[in-house]
Order: sequence, then C-alpha cells, then structure tokens
Amino acid sequence: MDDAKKSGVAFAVLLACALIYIAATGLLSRSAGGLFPAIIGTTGAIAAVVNVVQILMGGVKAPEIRDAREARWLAALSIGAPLVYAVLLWLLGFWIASAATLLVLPWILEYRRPMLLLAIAALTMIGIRLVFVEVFDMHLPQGLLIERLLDTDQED
Amino acid sequence: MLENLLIGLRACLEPQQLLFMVLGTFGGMWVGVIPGLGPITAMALLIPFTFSMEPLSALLMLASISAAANCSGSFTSILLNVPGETTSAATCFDGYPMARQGRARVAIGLSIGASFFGAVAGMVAVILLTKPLLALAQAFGPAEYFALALLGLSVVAVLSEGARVKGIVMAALGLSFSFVGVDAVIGEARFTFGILDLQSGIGLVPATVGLFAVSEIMEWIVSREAVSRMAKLEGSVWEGVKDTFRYPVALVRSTVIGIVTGIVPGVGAVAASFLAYAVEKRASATPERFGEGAPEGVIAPESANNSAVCAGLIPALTLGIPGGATSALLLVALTVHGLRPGAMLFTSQPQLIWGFFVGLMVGALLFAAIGMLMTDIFARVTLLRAEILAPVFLVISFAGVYAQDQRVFDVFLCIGFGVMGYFARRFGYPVVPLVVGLVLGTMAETSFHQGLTIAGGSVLGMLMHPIVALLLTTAVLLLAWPLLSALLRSRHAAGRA
Repeated sequence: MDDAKKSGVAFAVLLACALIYIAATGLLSRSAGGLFPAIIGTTGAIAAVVNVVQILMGGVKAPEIRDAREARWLAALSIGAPLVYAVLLWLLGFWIASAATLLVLPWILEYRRPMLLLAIAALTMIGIRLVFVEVFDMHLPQGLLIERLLDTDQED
Repeated sequence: MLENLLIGLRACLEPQQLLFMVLGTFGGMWVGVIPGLGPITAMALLIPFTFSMEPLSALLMLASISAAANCSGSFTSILLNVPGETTSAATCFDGYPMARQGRARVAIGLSIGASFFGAVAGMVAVILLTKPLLALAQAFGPAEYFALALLGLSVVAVLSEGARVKGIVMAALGLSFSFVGVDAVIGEARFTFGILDLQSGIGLVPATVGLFAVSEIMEWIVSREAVSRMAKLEGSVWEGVKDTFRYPVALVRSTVIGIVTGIVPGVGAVAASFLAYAVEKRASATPERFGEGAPEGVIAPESANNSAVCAGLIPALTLGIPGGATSALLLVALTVHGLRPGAMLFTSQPQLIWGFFVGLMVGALLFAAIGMLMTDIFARVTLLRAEILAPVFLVISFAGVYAQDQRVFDVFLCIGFGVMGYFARRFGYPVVPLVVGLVLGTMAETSFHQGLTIAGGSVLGMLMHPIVALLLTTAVLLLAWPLLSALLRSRHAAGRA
C-alpha cells in the first residue's frame, strides 16, 4: 500500500470510528434522546465501513500526495497558521494577533514588500474596527493575558 | 389584486420609503460580503432603531438588507470560495471555478440575474399563494416535517455523484454534529465531552466558514497563487446577467424549488440552494460540467435561495410561523409595531402589506443595479496573490465567526471544520451533505420524536399519512434511482441481445 492510499484509509477509518462512537452512544443510551443518534450512527457507520473496504480494495482512486519537502512544509503551515492565530487571538486578543498574522504570514510565504504589507494590515484592521466595533457595536476578543494584565493593574 | 398592487406601488415609491430601501440595500450589500456577519445580525441590531420609524419604512429597510445581503453573499462565494452567507455556500461549486477561469464578472452577473429573478418570482408567489397555501400549511404535522427532512437528506445521494457512499458518510456526520448540545427532546446534554461551550450546539457559521473559507485559505497557502489563473478578467457583468436568461428552464425550476422549500417552516434558504443545485446537476445532460464552472451551477442556488427567502414570508404573514430566520425577524418588526400576522392584516392594513410586497420587488431592482455597479471593484480581488489574500481573509473570517456569539471557542471549532474540509476535499469527500445534515438535523430529530409521540409510539402509524408516504416514496426513489436505472439499462440491453 502506498503513502497516498494509507492516508486515504486513515481518514476513512477516522470517520468510521466517529460514526461507530455515535451509534454506540445512541444504542447504549437509556433515554429517548439516544434513539435518533443510534439510527443515524448505525446507518452512517455501515456506509463508513463500506467506504473503508472500497478504498482498501482499490475501487476508489487514492489522492496524489506531493512528498517534496516544500509541499510538506506548506501543508503544515496551512494547518498551523490558523491554529497559531487562534491561540494568539485567545491569549493576546484580536488586534495583536491579527496584526501579527497580517504581517508575519505573508513574510513566511516569501512575500517581501513591507510597506505594502503594512498598508494592507492597517486597512484591514481599520475596516474591521469600523464595521464590527463602530457600526455594529460588537466586541472582539481582548485576550486572556491582556485581560489579566488589565485586572492586575486595576487591583494595584 | 391590480388595485392592491397600485396601492402598494404608490406607498413604496414615496421618497422616504425609497431612501430607506436604498440605505438598506447598501448596508445589506456590505454586510453580505463579510463571512459570519449576515443579514440576520444586521437586522437584529437594527430592529430597536425601527421603533420610531413608520411600520412600512421599517419593514422595507429590513427586507432590503436581507435581499441585498442574500445576493452579495454570493460575491465572495464566487470570487474567493468563501461564502459571505450560508445561503450562498452552494454558489461556490461553480461560481469559484468561473472566477479561476478569469470569468468572475460573468459569474457575478449570473448571480445578480438569478437573484433578481428569484426575488421577484418569490414575491409574485407570495402575492398569489399566500391565501391558498394557508390551508395546506395547516395540514403539515411533525411526521410530514420529518419526511420532508428525509427527502432533503436523500438529495445527498444525488449530490454525491460518483462518491455516493462518501456522501452518505458525510450526511451522517452532518446529522451527528447536529446532535451535539442540549437534546431538544428531553433537554439532556449529549456529545459535549464536558465542554460547556458545546452545550449550545454547533453553529452553522463556524461550520460553514470552516468547511468552505478556512479550507480554501489553507489551499491558498499551499498553492500560493492568485484566485484567477488568468492574468486578466474576461467578460462583463452584463454578459452574465444576459446569460442568466439563456437558461430559462434551470432558472424557473430552481425558483420553484426555492418557493416550495421556502414555504415550509424550518427548512429555509440554505437547504433550498443545495437542493436546487443537486436537481439541476441531476437534470443536466452534461453533469460533468458542474463543478467546473457551469452557469446553471450559479443560477440554480442563487434563484432558489432568493425565492426561498421571499416564500418564507408566506407562513410568517399568514400563520405567524416564520419560514426562516429572516422572516422571523420581519415578524418581530411587524409585532413591535402592534401588527399581528393573519388574514386580518391583509384587510386592515392593505397599504402596509401591499406596499411591503411591491417594495420588495423594487428592492430587487435596487440590489441588481447597485450590485452591477459594485462588481468591478469586487472582481479585482481575484487578481490578488494568495500570500496577501490568505491572511486578510483569515482575519476577516475569524472576526466574523467570533462576532456571531462572542466566543473564541467558535474560532477553534471553525478551524476544526476547516481541517476537516481540507482533508475531505483532498480525499474526494463531498462537504455539501455534511452541511445539509447539520441544517436539517435538529428539525428531523424533533419532528421524528413528536410524530412518534402523536402516533402512540408506532413508527408505521406515523408513516401512514398520505403526505408522509408521498414524501418518503420520493426520497426512496431518489436514493434508489441509480440502482433502478442500472437495472433497467441491463434489462434493456438483455432484451436487445
């Protein structure tokens, strides 16, 4: 079995496990609330197992996987960047996290025009401030660490 | 009727009403293109400001926001594969490939043309069908709604041409995601893993922004190229508008699907757009064009979602049961002005109700005109490089997702769906069935339990109603069609031999 097929099977097995879990939880539930999940989970789990068998038997075309080092780095970055941004959002708040993402991510992707990046970052953040905060009076995350710092300052 | 329409036209063409409609249309256009910040948020926030307004002005402004946002939500679906509205998610499938071919302006023209037609036809349906459908709507009980949800889900099989089993897996997963949170039947928390934020369930906004927007942003980071593979934009928006009417069958069929789906409370415009897309793909003599930039793939979801939003007004104005979130908010606006839905509304307030109906058609003209003027500015986005687009849209998407319920947890949920969408796309799993499952899940489960209780716990008793039987037979036929057609073909071949 090649790498591409292995990844396809792994994803299919993951989906099957999720549906088996839903079916099992529904079937083991003693309340009426478990009935519908049991029906859906069982149907889905049967389809998921058929899907795994189809992939194993080669009936379904496996995707191409680029194994070049750069492609792997970009794939890791594509998942890592949103995750790191979300963690920063949670810890440092929207404005710091967004400024960092808008300036650093293009730089990592080898886009080297600092003045243009600064302008785009500023315009994006002003636009978001206008729409979300000024017009719709919504709050954007302040950040756990910033909130703690502000609290400590107030206590002092 | 003609007299009523004239009364309505006179009422809505007053300068004050026109001003509120133009303001609503402009606001709706901008709100619609921001993922996560939809007309619902804008309408909900503006309702308190309408207290001091005339009822007609308030209704027209709110309805213009909804109509314009419904149309402009498709702009980002087409340009960036990022649905501005969940109702525009199905527009991504063919709108985005058109943008990649440098035909973004044509695709937006198709969307404007189809949205305009859908909105006007939807309003005509509201005018003509409101009273006759009152009786039919009252005949729908929980069992019928359950059967309707199953019919919607059976479309999954049609949607997943070539990946039917994967489609069923994704639909089951979508339904499973709808189980997360406090159970609507007995009020017990399910599948929350002790996480408090999961008790309110999985929202449509983090799910759709994740599946469509975040997964696309991930793809941009990997590919590092502009959305448009061509260096310049081809075609004009007017060409797209004209092209819309070159597919009259697709246009009318999808509009009818939108109207029928929109009338049913709880199903709504999201399901209507996916359903119309699936039916159009199924009906096409060349289904392989779908997903590659077929004009019908833009026309179908756009005409369906716009007509569904309008048709959602029928149960809202007659029974006081909103067809969707938009009509629910219009209902709120109506009641805060001391007006009650029902037959009396049509006799006691003819100027208001007919002014509102005609105003919505004038509003459709306004969003078509303003949309056409703004298209060129929007279309240029597709020429930008991925290195700039990816961070900018990541920031806008997350701001929209957070703003919806003010929870950082939703941002993480959105990333989870993004990763899932990215791998699903990579391994050939259709994400549409997952979204349809998530949309219809709660309604299907609640109706199933209510129907079962009414039938005294007998499943057979629940299913043996004429409408239920008809809907379920259609669902089964739809699912079994590939098997039946293969059987018929082999018999035909054997007969020839």
